[in-house]
Amino acid sequence: MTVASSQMQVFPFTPSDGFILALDGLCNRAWGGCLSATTEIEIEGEPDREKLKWLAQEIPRRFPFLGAVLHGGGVFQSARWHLRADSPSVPLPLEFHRFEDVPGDEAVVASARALRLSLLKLRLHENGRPPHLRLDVVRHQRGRWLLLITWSHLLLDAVGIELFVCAIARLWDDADAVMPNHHALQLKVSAWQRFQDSEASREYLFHLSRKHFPSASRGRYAKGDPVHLVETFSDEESRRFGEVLKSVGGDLMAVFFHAVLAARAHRALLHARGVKNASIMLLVPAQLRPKTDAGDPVIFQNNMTMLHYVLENDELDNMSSACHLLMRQNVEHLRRKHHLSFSALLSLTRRIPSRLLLRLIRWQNRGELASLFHSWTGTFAQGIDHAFGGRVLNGYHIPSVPAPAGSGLFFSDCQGRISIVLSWVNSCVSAEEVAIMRKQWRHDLLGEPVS
Amino acid sequence: MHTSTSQPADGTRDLEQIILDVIRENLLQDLPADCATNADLFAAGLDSMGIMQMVLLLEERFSCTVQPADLTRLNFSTAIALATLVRSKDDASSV
Repeated sequence: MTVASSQMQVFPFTPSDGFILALDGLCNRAWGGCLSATTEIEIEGEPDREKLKWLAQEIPRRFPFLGAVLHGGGVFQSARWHLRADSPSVPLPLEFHRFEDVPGDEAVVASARALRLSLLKLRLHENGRPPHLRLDVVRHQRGRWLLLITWSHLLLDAVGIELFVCAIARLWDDADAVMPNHHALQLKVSAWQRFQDSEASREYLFHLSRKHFPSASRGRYAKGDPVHLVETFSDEESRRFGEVLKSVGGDLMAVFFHAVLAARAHRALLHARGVKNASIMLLVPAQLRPKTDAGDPVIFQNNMTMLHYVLENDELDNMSSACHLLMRQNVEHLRRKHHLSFSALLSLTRRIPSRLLLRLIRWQNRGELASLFHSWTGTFAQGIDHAFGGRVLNGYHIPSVPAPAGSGLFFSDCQGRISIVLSWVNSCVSAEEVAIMRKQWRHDLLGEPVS
Repeated sequence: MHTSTSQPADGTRDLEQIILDVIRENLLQDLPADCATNADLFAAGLDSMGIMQMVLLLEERFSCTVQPADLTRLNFSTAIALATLVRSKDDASSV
């Protein structure tokens, strides 16, 4: 940690923070918001309002990094976080809501989706100032309630938010629980060494630039609102989902299986647009998460690299062979150390202003960043089954996506129930195209007819 | 480095122990020196990235090809399970 003054701690950007800042700028351009996500947790019982208010006050005290302010990011200074030791701890924004048919004094929301739409449009942070995270509680019938945690991707990534959920669930149960602290990234290798380390990745990206991988936004900046579709499968459907995975390979093939599902859904969209022979390029996050001195995985900032997967149109005809191809691509990426090499490249580009960085990437890729965004976050919050006073019934993330690519398909698993979240910018994907993508994944997972 | 998988590499250490050493050297540096061969590798910190790095290590060090059907949690849960997987590949290639 660099100490600029006795009162100020400075946290440099991680390698992937710079890329995320660029995507955040794209979201601001599209709808005036930021790159954010809502993590939705469905819990049995009734919410304990007083304890939730306590939690909203306690979290910033126990996680001071939530008060960090973004600085720099221009031509002359790379972006970084500043944290004043003497800044007052401000409670997290917390609002209570209810559905119309539930009696109470909270604000009425038409649906969870309507609330999420309004949350994802928010600019959580104004010029990188807190709050970077907010809480919303919705009571709905049948003794269930929702906890919605809306967070800026600048400060957290998807694995980080799940670690955060586990940590605040421990805090709920034990006010004296020790919370993991945050420490600043120390880049111990020189810029020249990182440039050399990035060679394999640069070569691969050059090779990739020969491909044409059109996205939903057709490689253009787009204005529009973030919208989404959440599909949670029943226990029976999730079981059938598992059977399809078994036909492809072992349970650890899930990461490739979900990537192929996303690619096939996107291919269906392209085919509907008359684009028949395009490549599909998925930019899939992979964890590079350091540990704190106490041995805990770091929660805050983006601690990941990216792996690029490419599938040609014909390679997606058969799910099993497509999954196998992705598995072999992954092994090859690791053999060539692309994950480390790309991280080295990202660490060098942290100093490039966001707009210029995007111009460079899009110039190389005919306007595109990827065909679509995708991630499979696996078992939700390390399999947490009880939190915030009740049994956890479901949990998943609903991220907003920038344009390009204009759409993203995300998968998670909570207590064996699979949820799929399709997220898009409303000017990039039509209602008919959403229906086409949904039909494709339901066909792939449940054998339902495509037409 | 290629290691014969049918016999202990140096006559004293068995395959399970060699696999543990490979994991400690490449993936889980904090793995205790006296880690049991039936210790849960996921509990020790093996994550999805580590699993695929393990696939690469198995292919490079033990000259076997891991297939999609081999990618199960059970096969990667302990050094014993991994050694069984490597031996099954050895047996298959010698048929």
